[in-house]
Amino acid sequence: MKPKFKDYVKIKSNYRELRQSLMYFSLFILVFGLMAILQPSRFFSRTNLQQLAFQVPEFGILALGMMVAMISGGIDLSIITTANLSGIISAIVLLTLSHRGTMDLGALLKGIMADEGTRQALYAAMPTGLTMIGIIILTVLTALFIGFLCGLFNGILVAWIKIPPILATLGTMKLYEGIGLVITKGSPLTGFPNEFIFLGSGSILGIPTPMIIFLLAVIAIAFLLRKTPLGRSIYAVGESPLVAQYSGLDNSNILIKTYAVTGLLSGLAAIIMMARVDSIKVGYGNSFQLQSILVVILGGVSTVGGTGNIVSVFFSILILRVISSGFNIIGFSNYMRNVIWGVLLIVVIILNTSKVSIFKKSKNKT
Amino acid sequence: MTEEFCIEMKNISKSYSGVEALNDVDISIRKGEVHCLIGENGSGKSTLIKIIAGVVTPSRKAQITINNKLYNKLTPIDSMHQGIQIIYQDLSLFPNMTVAENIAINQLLESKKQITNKRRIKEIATRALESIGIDLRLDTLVGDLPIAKQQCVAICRAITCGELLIIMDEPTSSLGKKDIDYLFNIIKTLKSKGIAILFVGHKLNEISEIADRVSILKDGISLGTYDIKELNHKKMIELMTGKTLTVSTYAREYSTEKPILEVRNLSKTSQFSDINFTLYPGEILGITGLVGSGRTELVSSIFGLNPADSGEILIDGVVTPIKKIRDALKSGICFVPEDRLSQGLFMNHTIENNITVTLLKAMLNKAGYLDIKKVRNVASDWVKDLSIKTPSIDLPVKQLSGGNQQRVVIAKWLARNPRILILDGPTIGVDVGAKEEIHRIIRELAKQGLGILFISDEASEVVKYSHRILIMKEGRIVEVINSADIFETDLLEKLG
Amino acid sequence: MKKHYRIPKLFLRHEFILAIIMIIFGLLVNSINPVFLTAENIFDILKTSSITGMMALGVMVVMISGGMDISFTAIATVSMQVTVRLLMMLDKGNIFVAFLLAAIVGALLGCVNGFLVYRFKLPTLIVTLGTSNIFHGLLLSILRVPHLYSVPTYYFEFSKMLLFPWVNQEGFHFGLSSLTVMLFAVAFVIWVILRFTMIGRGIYALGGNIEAAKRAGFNIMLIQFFIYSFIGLTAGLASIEYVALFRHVHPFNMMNMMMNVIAAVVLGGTSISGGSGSVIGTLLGVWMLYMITNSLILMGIPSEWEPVVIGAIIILSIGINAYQKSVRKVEVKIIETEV
Repeated sequence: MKPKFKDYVKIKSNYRELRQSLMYFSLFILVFGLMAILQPSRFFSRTNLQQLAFQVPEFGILALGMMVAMISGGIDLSIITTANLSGIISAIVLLTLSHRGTMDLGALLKGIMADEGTRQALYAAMPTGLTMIGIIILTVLTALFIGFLCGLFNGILVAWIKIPPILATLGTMKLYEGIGLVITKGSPLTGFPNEFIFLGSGSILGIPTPMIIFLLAVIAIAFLLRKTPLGRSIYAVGESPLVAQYSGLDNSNILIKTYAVTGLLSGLAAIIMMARVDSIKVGYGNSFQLQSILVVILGGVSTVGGTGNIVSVFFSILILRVISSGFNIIGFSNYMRNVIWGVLLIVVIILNTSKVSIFKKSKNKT
Repeated sequence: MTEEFCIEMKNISKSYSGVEALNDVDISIRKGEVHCLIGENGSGKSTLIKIIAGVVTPSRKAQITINNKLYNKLTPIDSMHQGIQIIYQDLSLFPNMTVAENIAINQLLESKKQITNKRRIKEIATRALESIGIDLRLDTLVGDLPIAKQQCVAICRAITCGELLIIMDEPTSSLGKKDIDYLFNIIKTLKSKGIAILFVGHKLNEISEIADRVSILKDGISLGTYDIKELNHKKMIELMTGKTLTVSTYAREYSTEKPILEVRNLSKTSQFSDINFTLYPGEILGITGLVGSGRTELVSSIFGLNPADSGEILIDGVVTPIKKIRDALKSGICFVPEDRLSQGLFMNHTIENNITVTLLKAMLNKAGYLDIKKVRNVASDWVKDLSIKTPSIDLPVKQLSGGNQQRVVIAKWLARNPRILILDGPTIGVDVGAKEEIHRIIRELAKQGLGILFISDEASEVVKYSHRILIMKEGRIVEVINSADIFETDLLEKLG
Repeated sequence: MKKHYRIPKLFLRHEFILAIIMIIFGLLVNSINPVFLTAENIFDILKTSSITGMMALGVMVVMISGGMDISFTAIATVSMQVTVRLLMMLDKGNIFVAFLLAAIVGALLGCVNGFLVYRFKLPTLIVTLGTSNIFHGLLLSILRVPHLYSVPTYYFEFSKMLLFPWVNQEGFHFGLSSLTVMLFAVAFVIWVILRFTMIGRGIYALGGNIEAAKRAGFNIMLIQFFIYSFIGLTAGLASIEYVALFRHVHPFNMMNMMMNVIAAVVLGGTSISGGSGSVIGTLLGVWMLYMITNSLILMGIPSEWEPVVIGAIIILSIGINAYQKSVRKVEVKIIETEV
């Protein structure tokens, strides 16, 4: 083996992750640049950039959850309905506490908010200041908690009952949707206080609040995956549950925590959803399910788990939303977009799978 | 082509991405003979049989003559039509289908008929079972059968289409003595029907028992074919390894005052019973016995992977209940498993990851999260200490050679500073030079005061590289003997 | 001395246990609302469940082979739209042509899945997630008016057809519906194929040990294409049954049936990891599912509880199945020996 090759391999492997991240970053710049060149006026328009900045966080946090589940070797098809359910329950908390005394829960659930006069009156009667902050904190905690519970249940099904993640989350997807339907009968919940809506539509120092929340979530998850034993254990269990067991890792424990984290993230996404459009209902965000799987696979996470780079996924999220906004500009219907996402998904897995088999053929023995 | 040979193969060569697996190998098989193919791991046995079965094509033009017909290469169809069948080591059965269906499947596929019927399947299966004299219920699901019975099913399946030659790839690797005898009886029956058997194996005592002729492969080169009468164990080992008789070189340099590990009356139903032995700090105890003697099960229970039903384990003289792996780890027991590919390593993960994965809780910094620098240092240190040949610790372990991979596994456990290290088949699939290295490392560890248990199939390895030898047979310890007091040929006899 | 009683194998079979549960459940519900076990109601359950049943047969075949197809409802929706619209445009056709056309469209779409799965060896769930979106998305992008509320009468006429009709006291005709007869016919065909042909063996083989299936010499390409075009075909047939029953063409309703179909198949004992499943079991699973949802209505439970119940059923039945399996775990390892 000539010295040159050895050094190359050394550099290559030392910075493998960095190289991958750089690749995705450049891809993002490329796509962004393309959009900018092709339709500068529309792309850089206020509405478009705003929409980008506000849609990325909601989707991104959900995708983070999907990523964690897929790294562990599984998948979570229930992230959307978990978010919906968390949103619904925390909305009830929020509404009950904000409208205390002025309206009863039953009427709230029927969504009687149509009349503008009633709306004004109700808003005027809402508590403000510290009380409101307290209410909002409680709401957020509720959403996170419900999300956590949903994820925990998923984890238990996968880790203790040993149901394959696809089926377990397919079932809970329906279950959580069902519970949400029973509570709301399909109607939306609305009428959130302005202070709450700030979380989804306001800005701090020019940066939209949800974006800040998203970035914090990314940092938190990156920290989890790279700098905690749990994070590395998730990669281990995803790569080979058998080897993980032989290495003394507690697979059940790790898997339950994994899905709990995903659930938690879904709960967080719910808050942003609610705050952005001032309402929550069963079925919100359904189109994100395919896209979240797409963005995670696009970001280099293997379909069988064990590998995944959060930076790549982060840029994939950005790339996808930029492309999506491009679709907006072109005027693609929602359905056409689904078609393109579907095609993209299939193309990406074909490329991924053939990459793996190429790897297998040339198994180099140093 | 000579009358006596039913298959003659000349100039067989095969390379995989530049690595030569087989180099100009000749082999011939006589009608109705039991022909054994032996060689160490990596000698090319697997590739050769795949070429005969038509699953792999030779890299250069070869001359293969079967029943007077000449081929340059074989396809699976050619092979099948000529009556050659191969039984893979994993048996390739369908666990969700019945015995009858599994047996009949090859013949059904060959006949190309699209319609099946139960009666025909039953006929085919019954005929096959009867011809070898095996009694199995036709409607049992194969997945519910024990391994030995599954093997019978695989053999029956082979004889439905294999009139000329049946290739068996390491058929005894998961069988106990009783089942091996059973298998050999079947082989003798097949032989009496004029079916040749190509038996790939590496357990010399088995070879001696069943073979008519033996072909030896070493590093992809054929070392010739011998009549079994011309060979004895000593000669076979010499040919296979290229070395002569080995003697133990381990003098006892440790004190036998306080055992580091003591096992009393350890039993687990249908796996092992009444196990008693002691291990001293600084001692290397080699555990050997035929597969199925319970060795792996025993050490697995010491590690907590397979907790025993009754008995006691004492660490430093203190009774320690070991019910889970974590109990074992806490007591300083570490286990390097047999199959490093699927049990020991995260193939796609880096060397750093693999070495440190069990230590993470101990590498937290004051703030409570991982000290990455420390992690990397630990990994680098071990790479250096064990001379793992790699340009970087970020290389995925699947890119390493077998010997280096094994070192990574060992590093992973050594990084925990174990007091007792258990190694199950540590040199399987490792080439000769690396093997010596690994044993050197083990020796060093013993000198530092660790107690070492290692399991090996190879008598020569056990004799050469351990202080004492524990011989197991059918779940019990039959003898504990000093390695200095025995030659491997005698050891082999004791095992048989 | 212990006496060992051998429980006849029949009693332990999933299908048998399911049948017993169904009978008990039926009796229970009937005691609350005696309408439940009347002939009219039973025939009605059989009729309305035929759509789900048809698709369930397809899903069963895919699951036995170890795969998972979630695009079948999209295929059904597309077949439905294409067939009905085309025939209306040509102003020709009858119910048989409709079924034939829908079956062909469905089978062709299924072949796309089969191609992707076979040629590129892609994970089946994700591939069909992709094709589901592609098929449905393309359909809805092209159609300007996705709903069709006025369809030729021959669809509805077909659904009214009864085999051996009875008349009850109110003059209401009831009996074995044509839809149910169709289901039985297709069920019979697939039963024969699974039991008596090499393709059937191949489907089970793929689900049992895919490596061994390749080594044994099964024609994997043929089998995969058969599986995925079969589920497409049944989806197509189911879609016309839908039009016959509901007298309209709808872009979304069939999509929402996906979970029910999967629930029914799993309830019927087909294993998600492949290798086992039976026609009888699947049919029983479908009927059980409809018994449950039908009983909810009869007991006055509001319809929004249905998804919860379905979700709970899926989890319960898979859970029991999975737990049983993990207790008696027998794995077949593939050993790739090195050189």
